Amino acid sequence: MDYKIKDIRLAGSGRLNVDWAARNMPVLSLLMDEFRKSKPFDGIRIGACLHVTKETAVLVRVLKAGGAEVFLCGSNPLSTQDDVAAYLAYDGIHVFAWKGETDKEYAWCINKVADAQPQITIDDGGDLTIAAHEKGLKVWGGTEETTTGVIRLKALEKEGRLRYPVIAVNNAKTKMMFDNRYGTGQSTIDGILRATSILLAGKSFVVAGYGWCGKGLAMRARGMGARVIVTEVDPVKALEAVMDGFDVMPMPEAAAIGDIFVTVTGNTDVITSEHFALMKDGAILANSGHFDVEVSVKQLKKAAKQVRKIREGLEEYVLKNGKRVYLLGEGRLVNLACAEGHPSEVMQMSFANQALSAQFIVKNRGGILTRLIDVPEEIDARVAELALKAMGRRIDSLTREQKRYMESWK
Amino acid sequence: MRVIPAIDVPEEIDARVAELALKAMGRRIDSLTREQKRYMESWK
Repeated sequence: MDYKIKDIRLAGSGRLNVDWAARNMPVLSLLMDEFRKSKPFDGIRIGACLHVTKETAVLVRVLKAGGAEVFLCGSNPLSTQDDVAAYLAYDGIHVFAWKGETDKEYAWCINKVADAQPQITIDDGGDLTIAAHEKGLKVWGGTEETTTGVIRLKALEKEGRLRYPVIAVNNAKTKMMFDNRYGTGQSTIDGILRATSILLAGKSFVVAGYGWCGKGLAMRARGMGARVIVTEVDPVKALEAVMDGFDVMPMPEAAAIGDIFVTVTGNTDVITSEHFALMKDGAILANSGHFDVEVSVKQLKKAAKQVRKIREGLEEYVLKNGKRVYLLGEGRLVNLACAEGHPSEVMQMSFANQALSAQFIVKNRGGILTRLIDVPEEIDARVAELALKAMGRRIDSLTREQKRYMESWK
Repeated sequence: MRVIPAIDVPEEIDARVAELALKAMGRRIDSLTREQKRYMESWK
């Protein structure tokens, strides 16, 4: 058994955590029962690059129950839960992940998974898919979990360099509208609170980006009593933020009044030295986007004359003008670096899309165009049905007359 | 990628309406730098 983790003795604690998550993921339990019988992944190697959290472990259980041999690495150097990784290794998963990997170690872990020559890749951010491309692997198909990965793979496709079909799980309605909104909304606040222990009520809380993640975060920050300011580059999204009742202004203006700043854009250099210089003494900076480039940590280091660690996940930067700003989780996604990522109840929907999309790839092997494609609508609808069922909610269905009415132009 | 049916309002009209509405309310927003545009179009 090949694996590399922090400490196998943490497996007991990991198991308890994974069992706890599984209790809140009944949709995955249903799929696990189904896959255990139908064995859709019998003899198939699945390579996964995901945040190694208790929820990911539940997905891995489902894939394993379906017959897969699973190879797993983390999708961020700081997001692995070491006890969960230990439990997975103990349970026979080839896992290469620990919290606090160097960039070099992070790449090594991805290579270990790619070198297993998986037939299916499940990716979060695009690093594994791109490694598989660079190695020229023969992969049947892949899936992509997050906005950043979808943007990167779109660019790859546009250059004509995409070599196997990838399903954009991120873009499924039952993923984006829930995981990105309610997941990021809650877990980002969770990360900020665990790192700082501050009161949010009455604070000026700046949200950069008003996509689904930004919408969720702004909504939850307001719920905690903060005064929320949104910054955007897209006029439609900016207008939406205005009409949702938030203050909207350019970042240079927000920089001067914010107490807390969180980036959720998927882009780079959203908060830079131009903005650090304008900030109040004591401003708190965090990022909840996939890569650690949204708050420019590089420029922050350059602008600082002194840096010290205050406590886990919280560093103080003293700027040359004497003011102090505080960076959470080294500028990496704060919800995973400083908390445990999204709650199980939303991850079960994202991961049900992952499991069903992987099954779709096997079933339609060779018959899918080499493109970045959407999650099939019937999978999306099925995930929503299962989630409602798990919550004991019932809904209406269309009558025959209503269906006919909707299809008629008269 | 999904083909946009001819019946949709062209994206630039949609964006322009939002810009005008923001302007009418006196709201200003950020714009992408050249580096940010390049970043969004790269897979590396």
